Amino acid sequence: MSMINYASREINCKVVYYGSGLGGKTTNLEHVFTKVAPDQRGKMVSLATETERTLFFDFLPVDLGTVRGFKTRFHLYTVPG
Amino acid sequence: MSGAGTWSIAEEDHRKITEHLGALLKESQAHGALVVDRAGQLLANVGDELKFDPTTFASLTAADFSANDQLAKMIGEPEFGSLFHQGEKESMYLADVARRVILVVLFDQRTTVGLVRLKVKQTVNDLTKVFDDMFGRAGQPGQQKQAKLLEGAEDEIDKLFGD
Repeated sequence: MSMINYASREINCKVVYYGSGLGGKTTNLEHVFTKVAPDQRGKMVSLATETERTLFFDFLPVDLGTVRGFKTRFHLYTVPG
Repeated sequence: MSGAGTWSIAEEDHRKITEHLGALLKESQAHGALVVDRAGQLLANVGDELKFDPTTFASLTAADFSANDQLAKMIGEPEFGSLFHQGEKESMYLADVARRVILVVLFDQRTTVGLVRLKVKQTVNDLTKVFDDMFGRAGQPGQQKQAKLLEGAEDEIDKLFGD
């Protein structure tokens, strides 16, 4: 899904990772986090249990730059599992 | 704005929203107000410069509200229309708007939760009208502009990931 804000000239797209438990959803997000330049990503938020299993969700905003004058950002989420 | 989870906010609507938020800050003496959609996207922000990442804040706000909605159902309430988080210096008051977006008010000791709650009620009514109008226009001819932009954006994103 996406949301376009004409006033602030922003496009925000939400991408959700879905898959079996212990399948690597959080690991995938962590890999993206390490590969994207710090100035193009926000802070990775991980709401996990003490055993590192995702309790709520993981979240990582990634900045893609400007598309036709609109600042474009991907919001990457994982689901619990 | 259109269905299937994709929607847009026009400049005129954004202007109306920020005007209502500005009036709220003036009357309540709070220092910040944000509007976040239920999917965790920041729609508008008025007040002092934020000292945190607004994108992450919006995402956690939506999660907070969703979790509390489920808590409400567990105790037999259809929903919690508002939430209050009290800190030592900074506090926040969250209110549902039209079951579509969340109004977040950030305030400190310069005001009281009572005043903020009182003023938020009027702002929620004002914002409900704005969002009802916005969603009422969904699917009308003006949305063709958005479809064209999305088409162009898809091409650009394809190019970005092309190599």
